[in-house]
Amino acid sequence: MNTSNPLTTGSHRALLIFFILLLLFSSGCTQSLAIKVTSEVPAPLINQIPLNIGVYYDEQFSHHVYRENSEDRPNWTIESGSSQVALFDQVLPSMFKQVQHVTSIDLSANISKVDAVLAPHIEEMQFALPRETQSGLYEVWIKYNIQLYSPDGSLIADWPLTAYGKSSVEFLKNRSAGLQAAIEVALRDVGAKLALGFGNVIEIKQWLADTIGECENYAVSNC
Amino acid sequence: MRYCSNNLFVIFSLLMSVLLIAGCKSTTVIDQYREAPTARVNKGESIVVLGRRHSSDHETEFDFISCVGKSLSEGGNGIQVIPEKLFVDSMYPWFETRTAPMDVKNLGKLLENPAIAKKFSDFRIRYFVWIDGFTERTDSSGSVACAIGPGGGGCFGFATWDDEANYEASVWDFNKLVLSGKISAETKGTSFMPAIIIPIPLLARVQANACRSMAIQIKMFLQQGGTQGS
Repeated sequence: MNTSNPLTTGSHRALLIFFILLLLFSSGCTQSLAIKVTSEVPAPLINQIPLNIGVYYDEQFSHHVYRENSEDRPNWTIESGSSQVALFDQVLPSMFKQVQHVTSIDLSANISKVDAVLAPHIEEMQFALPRETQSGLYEVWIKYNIQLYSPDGSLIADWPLTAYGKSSVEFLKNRSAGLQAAIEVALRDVGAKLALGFGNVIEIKQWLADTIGECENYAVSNC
Repeated sequence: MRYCSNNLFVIFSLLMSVLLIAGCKSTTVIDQYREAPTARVNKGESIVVLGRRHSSDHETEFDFISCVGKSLSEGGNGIQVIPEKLFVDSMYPWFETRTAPMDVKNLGKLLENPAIAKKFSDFRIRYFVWIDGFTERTDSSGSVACAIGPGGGGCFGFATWDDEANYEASVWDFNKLVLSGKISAETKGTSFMPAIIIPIPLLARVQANACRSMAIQIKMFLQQGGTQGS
C-alpha cells in the first residue's frame, strides 16, 4: 500500500523544480565564454598578380586564442586560429598566380621558387558588448601586422591592418552568437582590406614596380 | 460565486477586445521622391535589394532586407530579386560595408573592372535598391510579474511598449547609372501585454508593416515609372 504523504511529494516536486530553475538561471547568467570561430569568406573578385607567393603562418597565428580573465569577462576564450588560416588561404590564391605554404620565412636554403613570403600576425583583439557601449551592437576589432619578405629573408614591407566587425542585438541571439557574427564580419573586412589595399602600401608599390614592371592592374588606386 | 466569475470573464474579454481593436495598431507614412523615370523590369531582368550598414550606431537588419526582397518577388506582378547574401558574396569584396559604393557614380567606376562588369551582366541587374534604417523601441512602461510555487504558477500585470521603424530606400537605375528616386517608410506602433495568469502579447508588427509598405511602394515606383523599357 502506498502511504506517501501527498504534501511531502508535492514539496519534493517543488524543491526539484526550484533547483532546476536555479541551475538554468545560474548557467544562463554565467559570464564565462568559449567560442570557436567558424567563418566562410568568399573568394575575392580581383585581378591576380602574376607572382608566386609563399605564406608563412606561425604558431601564434594558426592557433590563435584570445584569452581574458577579468572581473567583467571571466574565463573568456575565443579560438580563431583555424578561421584566420582559412581566410588567408581563401583570399591569397585570388590575389596571386600561385600560393604555397612555407615553413620558414628564410627560404635561401630552400628549393621553393617563390617571389616573396607573406607572414600575417595578430597583434591585438578587442571586443565591446552592447551593455558596455549602450549601442545595441556587438563590436570586434582585430589588429594585424602583415609582413612581406623576399626569399632570402629580408623584409620588403611591414604594414598594420585593422579589421572591424559589428553585429546588432537581436531576439534570441545570445552573446556568443552576437560575438561570432561580429568576428565573421571582421574577418570579411580583413580579407577585403588585404585584397584591395595590398598594392597601396608604398613599399609594395615599389616592389611590384621592380618585380613585374607595373602595378596598375593589381591595385585599386594607381600606383 | 459563479456569477462573479462570469463577470470577471466578461470584463476580461471586453478589455481584450478593446485592446485588440484600439491597441497594437501601427501606422505607416510613406514618402516618395522621383528623380528620374523608371522602366518596367522585364522578364529575365532582376533587381537587388541591399542594406546599408556603414553607420556607427545602427545597421539595417538583414531580416528586413530579406523581407522586402521576398515581398517584392511575391504575387502575380512579382519582380525577380537577387538575395542579398548571394549578391554580396559573389561580388566580394566590392559590396562590403566599407567598400560598397555610396552613390551611383561610384557604381559606374566599378564597371570599369571587367570581372565586376561580367558579374553584373550575369545577374542581369536592372535596379539596385539600397535600404538604410532600423527599428527601435522608443518607449516602454508597465510590468508583468510571474511567480511559481508548489501549487502552480502564473503572471500578473500589464506592459506596453512603442516601436518605431524608419527606413529609406534609394533606387539606382543600373542601365542609365542614375538615381531614380527615394522612398521612405516611417511606421509607429504600440504593443500591449496584459497578463492574468497567462501573458497575452498583442504585438504591433511594426517592422513587418514597414517591410510590406516599403515593398508595395517600391513595386509601384518601378512599375508605374511612366516609360517603357530602355
